[in-house]
Amino acid sequence: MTERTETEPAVLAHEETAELLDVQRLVVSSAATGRRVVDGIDLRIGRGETVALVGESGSGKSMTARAITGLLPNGLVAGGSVHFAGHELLAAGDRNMRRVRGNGIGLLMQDPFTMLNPLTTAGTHIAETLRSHRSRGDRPVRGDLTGEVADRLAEVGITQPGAARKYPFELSGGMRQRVSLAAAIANDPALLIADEPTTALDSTTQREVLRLIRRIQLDRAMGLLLITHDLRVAFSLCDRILVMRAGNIVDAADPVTLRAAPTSDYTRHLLAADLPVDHQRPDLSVDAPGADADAVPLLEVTGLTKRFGTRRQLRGPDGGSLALDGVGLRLSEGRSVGIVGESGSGKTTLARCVLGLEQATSGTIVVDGIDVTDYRTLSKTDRHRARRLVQCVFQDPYSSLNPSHTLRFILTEAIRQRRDNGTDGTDGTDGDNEDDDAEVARLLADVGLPENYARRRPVALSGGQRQRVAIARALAQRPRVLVCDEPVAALDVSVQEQVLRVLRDQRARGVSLLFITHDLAVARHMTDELVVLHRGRVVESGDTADVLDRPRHDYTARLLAAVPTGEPAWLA
Amino acid sequence: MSEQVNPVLLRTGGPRLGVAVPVCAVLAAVIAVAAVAGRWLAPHDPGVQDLLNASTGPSATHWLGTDDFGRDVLSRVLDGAGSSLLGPVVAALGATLLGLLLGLMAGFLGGAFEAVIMRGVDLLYALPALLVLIVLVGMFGGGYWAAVGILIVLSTPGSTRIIRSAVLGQRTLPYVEAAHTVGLPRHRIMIVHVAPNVLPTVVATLLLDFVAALVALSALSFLGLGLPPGSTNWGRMLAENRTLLELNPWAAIAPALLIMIAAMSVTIIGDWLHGRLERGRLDHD
Amino acid sequence: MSVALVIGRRLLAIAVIMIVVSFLVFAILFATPGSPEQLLLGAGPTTPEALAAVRAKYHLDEPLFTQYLYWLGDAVRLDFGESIQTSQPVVSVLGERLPITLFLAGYATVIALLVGIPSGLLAGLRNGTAGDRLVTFVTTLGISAPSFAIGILLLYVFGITLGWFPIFGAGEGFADRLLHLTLPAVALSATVLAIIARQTRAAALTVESQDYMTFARARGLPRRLLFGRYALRNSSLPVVTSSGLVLASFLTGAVLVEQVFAIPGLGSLTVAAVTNKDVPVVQAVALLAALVVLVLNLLADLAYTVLDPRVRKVVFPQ
Repeated sequence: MTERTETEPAVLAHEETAELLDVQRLVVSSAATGRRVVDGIDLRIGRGETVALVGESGSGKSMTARAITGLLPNGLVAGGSVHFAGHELLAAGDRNMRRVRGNGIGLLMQDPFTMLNPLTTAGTHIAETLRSHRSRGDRPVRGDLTGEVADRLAEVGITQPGAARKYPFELSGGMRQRVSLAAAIANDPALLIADEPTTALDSTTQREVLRLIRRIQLDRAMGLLLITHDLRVAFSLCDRILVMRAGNIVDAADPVTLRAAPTSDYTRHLLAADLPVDHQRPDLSVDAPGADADAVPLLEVTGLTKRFGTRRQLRGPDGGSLALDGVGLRLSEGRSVGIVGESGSGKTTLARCVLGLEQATSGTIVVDGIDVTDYRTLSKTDRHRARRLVQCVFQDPYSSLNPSHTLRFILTEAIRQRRDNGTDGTDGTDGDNEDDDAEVARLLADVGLPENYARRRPVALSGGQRQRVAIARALAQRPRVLVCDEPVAALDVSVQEQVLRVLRDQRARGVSLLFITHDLAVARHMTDELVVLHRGRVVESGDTADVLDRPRHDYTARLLAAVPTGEPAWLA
Repeated sequence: MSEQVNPVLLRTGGPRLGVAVPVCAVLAAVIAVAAVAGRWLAPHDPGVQDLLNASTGPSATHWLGTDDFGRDVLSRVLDGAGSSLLGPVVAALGATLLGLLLGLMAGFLGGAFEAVIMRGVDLLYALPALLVLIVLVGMFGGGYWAAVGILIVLSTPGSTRIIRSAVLGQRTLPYVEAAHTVGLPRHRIMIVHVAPNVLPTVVATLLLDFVAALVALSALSFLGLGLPPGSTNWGRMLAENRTLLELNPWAAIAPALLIMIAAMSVTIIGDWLHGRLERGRLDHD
Repeated sequence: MSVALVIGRRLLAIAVIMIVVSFLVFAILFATPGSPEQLLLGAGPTTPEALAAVRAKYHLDEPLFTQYLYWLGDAVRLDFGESIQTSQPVVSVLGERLPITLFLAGYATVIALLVGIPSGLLAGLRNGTAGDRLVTFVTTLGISAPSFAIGILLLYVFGITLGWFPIFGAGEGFADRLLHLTLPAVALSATVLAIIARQTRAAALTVESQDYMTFARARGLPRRLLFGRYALRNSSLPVVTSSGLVLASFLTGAVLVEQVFAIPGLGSLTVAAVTNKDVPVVQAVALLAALVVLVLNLLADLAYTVLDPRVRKVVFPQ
């Protein structure tokens, strides 16, 4: 793709300035309150240069991208100056901006599942971009574009015949993101802004898409502004990295310098919070009591199979879709077993079956001698005992807590339920006479929250705090097994660590963990044993260190290779 | 014409209507006072005829003029407020409470329960409610309260669907699942956890059911069904005084406007309340 | 599965439902207070001979189910008996009234679509402006106010005070009919117009905030495409889904509006038949209404299937 169609010379006239994009004192603020989301940042990108804007959620990095393209959401206004190829964009007006968008600057967004029009085909998305920037006279008719659309799809690695006629819902996430990329750069823009382009994708797909972006960027000598929360991805892909926090750029350097000598405390903090996949950070290691792999298992899953589908499909020849296929695992007292795999591997289904939220099709789940495969058939005593033994923490902190109630209500309810569950005379009350309020305070302290938070409702808490309350609610049952389903996947790196520490403390107290995660680095730190799931089957299991250091199965090796290393070679 | 209005209003929302909300609140309050005390506020006896002064326009003694029997329109409108609004109130309460019960059970318990309830609901929901009401009341009689009863049966499916879908929206949220894994009994989860989160929907459904019932029952009496002639129900008055539009238009326009104002103001209040409760649920105190 | 097969299945389902409905409709005769003979004789002389004639004509001496089969057999051949009020065949009574009501409903549909969709789209894309608030306020009125009350006000303002439109009747010839039915059509369309506008507004708002709209803008697509291929097509889906039920509401609306404007259509026929316990006419109208509701819902589903490829590929896998 060396040929350029220069259809809007007014905009693309190459004034030979050194910089392609020159942003100065950019401010994005709320029109109503004046609150600044982006607080006067400077940003320069040369031709063919790759620059990363790294920050956690709320840092203002996405709004920077939107401001540059003139696509801020209603209610936000931009100030300062955005110079692109010799033209001021902030004052350009919508008509002129439309010539720049897609033509001078391409934008690729985060979520491949929502970025494409569900009612039109992949080919139409590319063709409409191609057509929209040509003047009326030389705008090609639809049919003439078929060849060019196929070329563009081939460029992003989609070569199957008929792919152009597929609708978005017929394509996988990775394919959709490729189609989006092809549409975003169909008019050969000089600059591509990619806003978290791989965050919604599985790790193996992430690496493929990033490689693709890298290759096209090099082929075309295209400028790239990568917006990401992931320092390692930025290290691998970019020439220069800007670290953003609360609307300001706090660090700017090339990857080597930034790694070796960050100038701001925040960057140091981010680098320190990074979890390595190849070894365990000593500050997060745990010496769990009684961590004996050969003890009688507390939780034992054997031959677990789960099929989804309508009643008719389940009875039919293919028996619905197979989410779990003969999965087995053992979790001993005081141990932590990790379940890893990509989306669709069945790891969440496994957790839900263990918790009795999903009914397994066949196989057994035994908890401390109670067969809990079907919670409905348990006697009341057994059910109560099982409920107390096994507790859970879910992924999404925002819907894990009932918005209608205060933390005190939520925790007190769980405490009282434990007492009710304990009416069989076993360890339900643990012989203590602690009153409810004191116990609420202690639970909050256990997860590192002040006592006065009990009066608050979930909405007044941050994501990490909510997740800690969810853990406290689980701990109110004094469980011996904690099922954690991606407990830190929705959290920023710096917050992740607080939640992981809370969980580590519980391990140190002898609570066993069934830890579901897609993140091998998290698994390295939080688990003793690993079970690798792929399409509902266990492909490999063993000691965490063994599995991650010497993967025996090809799939495990691929997963490991997909973990960003932070080296340019990772994308080569 | 009423059965699909509720979901439309609840699903679509709208911008803040600013001053319209307090204005509607005042109007609704005035109408409510008339409904309770109208009979005693009426300046004249609503039933007394004065054929010499029939069909006159507004005057100092008859603010809204008289109808073709010389009866005072203002007094009749005030007198009719109670009978025009009581039926809708009862119908709305009945349909919403039944809808809450069925919607919670169908949405939360699921399974065969849900299948049976929703099969019945879908069947009734597709009926043009007012038309069925007209045929049933017209052919089989039974009067006003029979009409209210039939209306409850015909409006319950709408309320059930709305409340069920609100419940379904909550049922799979992690906080409900967490409540299950803590071991809370199902009835407690349903009442303590799910119900407060669908409350905004229930309140709005109640108010909008009232509007739908007001329209349906007024329409019925407009057609002369369910009430004896000469009744002061607004729909009936509107129909009987339709021929006076050229002599004393107020005799027909006053009840028409009152029905519209009552329906409109309660709708706007319902919309506002729904938005406020929904925000309140998610905001901290 | 072929298109014909899918539609054929739905038509079969409609036929089954219609049989159930027909039984309920037939039962009206027996549920109505008073003996069937008396009802069917109406105001005629109740001599023993007349009674016997009615019994023979309507097979009243046969078992109930046989009576139903006789009745159904006639109904299938569009013979619903004679109107008790006028002694005309029910079908010819319906035939006289139907064109007027169809005209009225068609007119109201056109008004509702032509005004409802643009105003809803405008309100949605100009969210929060004065125009949006105006549209929302007016549609709230339209949605909550009954058509007969709106009709009376229109009649007073535009018919009597301003004298722009005739105040009753259906008119002769196309132009005259258009003039006569304008006010009734406006009153009839009010609720539906408001529903369509509100749905379009909400859909446009939702679509406006979707990533695919931002992504389309980010590619510099012309406004024409953004509006048509993106906003309008995606906004139309929820509107189309409910259009069957919404249009079916014209059935009830027509009853009231025709009464206000003294229009000799199906609606006023229904009211007269119900008031006079004219069983054969009520039965025919009820069957017709059920058929209209079912067919409108079928059409709405088909339109949805054509518009949405996700549904299309499930219903008609290649």
